[in-house]
Amino acid sequence: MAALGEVFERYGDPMTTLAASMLRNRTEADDVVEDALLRIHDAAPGFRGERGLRTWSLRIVANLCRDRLRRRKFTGTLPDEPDAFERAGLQFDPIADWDGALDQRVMAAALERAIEALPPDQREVVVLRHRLDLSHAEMAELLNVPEGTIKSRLARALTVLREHLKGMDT
Amino acid sequence: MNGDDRFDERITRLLSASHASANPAVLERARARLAARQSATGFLAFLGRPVALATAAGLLVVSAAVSLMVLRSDNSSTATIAATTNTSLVAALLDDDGTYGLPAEVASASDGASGAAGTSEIGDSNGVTP
Repeated sequence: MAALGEVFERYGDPMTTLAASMLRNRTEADDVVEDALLRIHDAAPGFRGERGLRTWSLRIVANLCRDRLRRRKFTGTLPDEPDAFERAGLQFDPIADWDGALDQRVMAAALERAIEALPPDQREVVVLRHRLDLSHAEMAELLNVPEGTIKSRLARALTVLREHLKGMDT
Repeated sequence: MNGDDRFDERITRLLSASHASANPAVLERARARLAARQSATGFLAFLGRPVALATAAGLLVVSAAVSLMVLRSDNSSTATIAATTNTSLVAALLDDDGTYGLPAEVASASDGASGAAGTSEIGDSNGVTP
């Protein structure tokens, strides 16, 4: 159980970020991280380390999120919170050298709403690539799909995000 | 760098500026669930042990013996009640004075008749009386 604390210490933040970004609901995200910790504990004796512990933990979280989203098609539960950050339980760290022409907080909120509207497979790659800084190879391994698929999903997702934020461009 | 590239860069910077911090309560809840699961599996493991099986078998024998004893004592008390009831019923019918519950004169008449008949029968059969 001490090892579980170490996993949480090291990967708790990325696991929570992935779950919150995917599910857009902080309570559900915490539940997913909790379930993931139990799975990690159960599967740890068989973990051979061929995949990094970080990628493995995130893979478990991604799978649990997909299950939840599949179930949500029938139950359809999202908190009734107008702020996309609040709803997802995400924090926004202001960017220091941002040009003043655009309100970064407003733009970030619009971006969150656009991410919410993405299909789960595209949302997943955007979060893994740009929020958790995984390489294409790591993402391909994590999601068990070829790198080409990752790249095309990412390109499609960025096109959609660009479209959503078009009016904000200066 | 053209306008599109600059816009994409902004998007990626904004994306990486948002994150969620792990909630320490999540780890506590996970640990509590693990502890609860381990205690439950500990009890199940105990049930599979030879000591537990022997204890269960012993309890079965003791309970069977107690049940048998209770049944036996129940049977004997039922028999006692039945015997007492029968005795008192016979005693009531006989009324302890040989009248068999009939009025005294009827009983004595019937006694006399039967006695006479009995005498003649004895005399006839033996040829002793004149």
